[in-house]
Amino acid sequence: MDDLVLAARGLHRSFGSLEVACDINFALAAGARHALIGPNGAGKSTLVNLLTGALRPSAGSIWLDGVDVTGLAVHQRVRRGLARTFQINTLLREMSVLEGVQLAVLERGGQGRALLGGRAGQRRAAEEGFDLLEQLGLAGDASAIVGALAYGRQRLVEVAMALALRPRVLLLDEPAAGVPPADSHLMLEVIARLPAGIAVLIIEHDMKLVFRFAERISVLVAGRILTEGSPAEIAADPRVREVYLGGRAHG
Amino acid sequence: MSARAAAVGVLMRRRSWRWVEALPWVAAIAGFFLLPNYLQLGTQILVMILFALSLDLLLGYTGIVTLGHAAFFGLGAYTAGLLATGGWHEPLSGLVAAAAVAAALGLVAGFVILRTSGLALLMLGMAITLLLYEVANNLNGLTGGADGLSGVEIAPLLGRFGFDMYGRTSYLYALAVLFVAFLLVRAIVWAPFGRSLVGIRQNPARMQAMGVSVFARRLAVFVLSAGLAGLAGAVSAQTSQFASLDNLSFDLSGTVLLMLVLGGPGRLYGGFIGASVLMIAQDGLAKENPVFWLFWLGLFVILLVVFVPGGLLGLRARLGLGGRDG
Ligand SMILES: Nc1ncnc2c1ncn2[C@@H]1O[C@H](COP(=O)(O)OP(=O)(O)OP(=O)(O)O)[C@@H](O)[C@H]1O
Ligand SMILES: [Mg+2]
Repeated sequence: MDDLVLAARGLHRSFGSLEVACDINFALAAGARHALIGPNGAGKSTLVNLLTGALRPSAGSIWLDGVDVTGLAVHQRVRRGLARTFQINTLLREMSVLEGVQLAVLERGGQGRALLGGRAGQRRAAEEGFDLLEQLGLAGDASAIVGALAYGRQRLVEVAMALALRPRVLLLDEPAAGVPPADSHLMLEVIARLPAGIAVLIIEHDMKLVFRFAERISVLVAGRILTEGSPAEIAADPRVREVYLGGRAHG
Repeated sequence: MSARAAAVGVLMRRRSWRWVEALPWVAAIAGFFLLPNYLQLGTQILVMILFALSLDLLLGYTGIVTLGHAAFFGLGAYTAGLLATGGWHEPLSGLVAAAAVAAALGLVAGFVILRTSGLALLMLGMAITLLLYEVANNLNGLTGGADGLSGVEIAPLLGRFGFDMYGRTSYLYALAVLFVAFLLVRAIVWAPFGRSLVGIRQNPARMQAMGVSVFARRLAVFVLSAGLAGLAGAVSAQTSQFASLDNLSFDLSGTVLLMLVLGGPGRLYGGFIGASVLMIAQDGLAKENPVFWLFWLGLFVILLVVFVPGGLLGLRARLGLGGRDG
């Protein structure tokens, strides 16, 4: 599994008697475009939390670039190239958009520990941050306070913060959730234009987006991977239709 | 100018000095010449400003709420005092030693209490203060127990400026220490480290998702803050030539918190305003009628906390005269 940037082997996790991850095996190759779908409460966010280290699995292991990182903390995995966005905005709400991205760039370079000085590094990081915001169509909001932005814009800031880390693996937890339809094309464009070298796992309920973006799709139901395949295989799978696609429209 | 240069410029210029920042120092020097009879009170105010500044790093910048900061102030005071009664009278080395001892306690205490948060953190901070208080109380022979540690003799500063009975040397000494400490803290809060503390205050999960060890950053600032609190305690002991159990009391932890919240946390200058306002008002009003004074103080604090969460400096920001540092 050396060519895999991220791999999970036999993950288990329960909350009390509720099994939210059961024998999950899963892998991303470099540059992968992978979608994870499943009904509400299937355990999709839980799986992201297991992969990033926010939750510990009760059994199984997680590998980054062929290294077992199961015992590593969240920040250590980030430093090895694993970035994520949150389903619910987790931002530095009182800072400007640019400052938040600048901090991410500084941390990526290990400069965040600099007790004194750091002015030149801060300037370079802010410049790099601005260029990134420009690519995401956020340049006009660079000096705006994050908490004052419209929700859809804040979702884009989530993505900007993750990309500022120049990750090798990016986990997107429902990036378009809550974005008003008028703005959702912005997020679609950003996702479509993600750097090719990054392995991306996207959790999404919008099937149009999923089928447009993903090369492979995993279906998670009640903590278990029901099936995995190409978009055509998933669309044709009667079990998937039954539990998900054919069921009542998702809310 | 390009949009990029403009936006980056806005961010970078916040580090620069503004003219209003000269104000507290001009006021402090003016006070030295104009109010020679109040130098002792002035020295106490400077000490409390330094103490509040150390707390601001924790509370205002990192968002760590503690009611145990007197432990470090008191430890610094007793360290400086005991060095002097033990025969080491040189003041500057005494300061450094006191700050180092307080920072060392900060490292040990922080390692334990920063694993917790909220109420547990509050209780552990208080427990450490209580512990030190009882140790100082029981080591009668060494610390003077409840009578306090007197006979703290300090040699002339730099071998030349004796600590005179008018308190002139004391005042300028306290002012100089505060100034140097302030320069250090100001540089730290605007450096990448300080900005990351503000990030931790706003959202630890986000900082962690950026690859930051939130615990390590919190511990680092805790050690720094403890050292600065110890420095304040040492200046207090050296200038008053006395250390007492009051230096290790809950009362003091509460007072410095009150001063900072009153002035406005997270703005560097909150302690300057809070300590000055509170101690000057106390000096003037409390002589007349202590109970009445506390009543009005209580009422004032309630109104402030309810209506102006950012303290007196927040009032200034609300009137559109300047914002929060971060
Ligand atoms: N910290 C927790 N403690 C207890 N139960 C939890 C916890 N986190 C999640 N759960 C439960 O685990 C189950 C899976 O939650 P999870 O958030 O992973 O679902 P999801 O697939 O992301 O759903 P959604 O599509 O609504 O985001 C849910 O029933 C949820 O209530
Ligand atoms: Mg979810």
